[in-house]
Amino acid sequence: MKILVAAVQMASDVLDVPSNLQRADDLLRSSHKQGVELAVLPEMFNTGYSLCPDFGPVSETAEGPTITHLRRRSRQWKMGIAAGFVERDGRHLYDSVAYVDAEGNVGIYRKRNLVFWERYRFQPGRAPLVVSTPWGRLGFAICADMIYRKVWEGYRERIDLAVVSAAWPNFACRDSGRRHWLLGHVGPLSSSIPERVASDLGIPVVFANQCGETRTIVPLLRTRIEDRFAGLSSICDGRHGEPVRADDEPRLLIAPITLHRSKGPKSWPITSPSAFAGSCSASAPS
Amino acid sequence: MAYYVPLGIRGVLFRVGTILIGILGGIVYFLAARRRRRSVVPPSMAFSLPD
Repeated sequence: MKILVAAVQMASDVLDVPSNLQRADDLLRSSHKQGVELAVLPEMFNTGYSLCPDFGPVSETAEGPTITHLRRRSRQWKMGIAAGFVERDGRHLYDSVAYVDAEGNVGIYRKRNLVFWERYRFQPGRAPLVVSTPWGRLGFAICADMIYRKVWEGYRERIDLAVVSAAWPNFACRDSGRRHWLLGHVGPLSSSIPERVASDLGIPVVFANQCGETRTIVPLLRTRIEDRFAGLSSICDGRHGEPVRADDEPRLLIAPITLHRSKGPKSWPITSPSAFAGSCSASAPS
Repeated sequence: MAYYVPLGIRGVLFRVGTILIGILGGIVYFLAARRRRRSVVPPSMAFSLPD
């Protein structure tokens, strides 16, 4: 089965949700017009990704304005949308991705592997998320999740498509271009890991990264790098053909992918305790 | 936790750093979360996007 997917590579303004939502909406509209069935937005696309004193004021539940808007678009345009946002659950904040489907159902994945300053602001998630869709089973990861073997071993044979939402920096000074001594080589991994996962697991991988300027802060090292997000969003069609890849500028990357639904066990229900706000797409695929 | 791609000696430093940041960050996070109200007030945002 072939479907058209989009990796939305965009820059987000820190804590300016209306502006980011407007920008994302324009790109989603363009995706819809081109026949996209699944669109992936970057990590924290609505709030921007940066160390802030407190994300509390812009955090949302699944009933918040961002997810409510995406649900409306998803229903209206018959499109699955995966998007990163700051989730609020009681006193806790999570770096999460919401997946909304064309029926308006919502599944939420919480980032499990927090790095750098993230642990100072967020609670780590506990479980993977697998969502059944008409095209097959989707598995989710957020940014640094993808460098851990355990994440992909957990999804092996259990998903038909991997969705990765990221705000992955290039760890290189944007003025001099000089890479950071420790993290400089991690930047290019944003390009190579999705391709490797696609080849290794034999499934398509849609990787949507932020782009634009950022500031990477590593608390213990007292490191502050004035760098850029790596961009390099990609759509890898499993073991079929060459990956389609963006550069480091804002891009709407659209490409077809091939799904083989027969792979793996027949069902693997949603495992995230946070998975559902309302009725979820865990229901059997139609 | 093993990496999906080899990171060499930097991977060891990265792992140690992540553990230490996890401990320190966890404490900072815990204190901040304790101060946060349990009830959620939806953020007020003024935006209207065309259909």
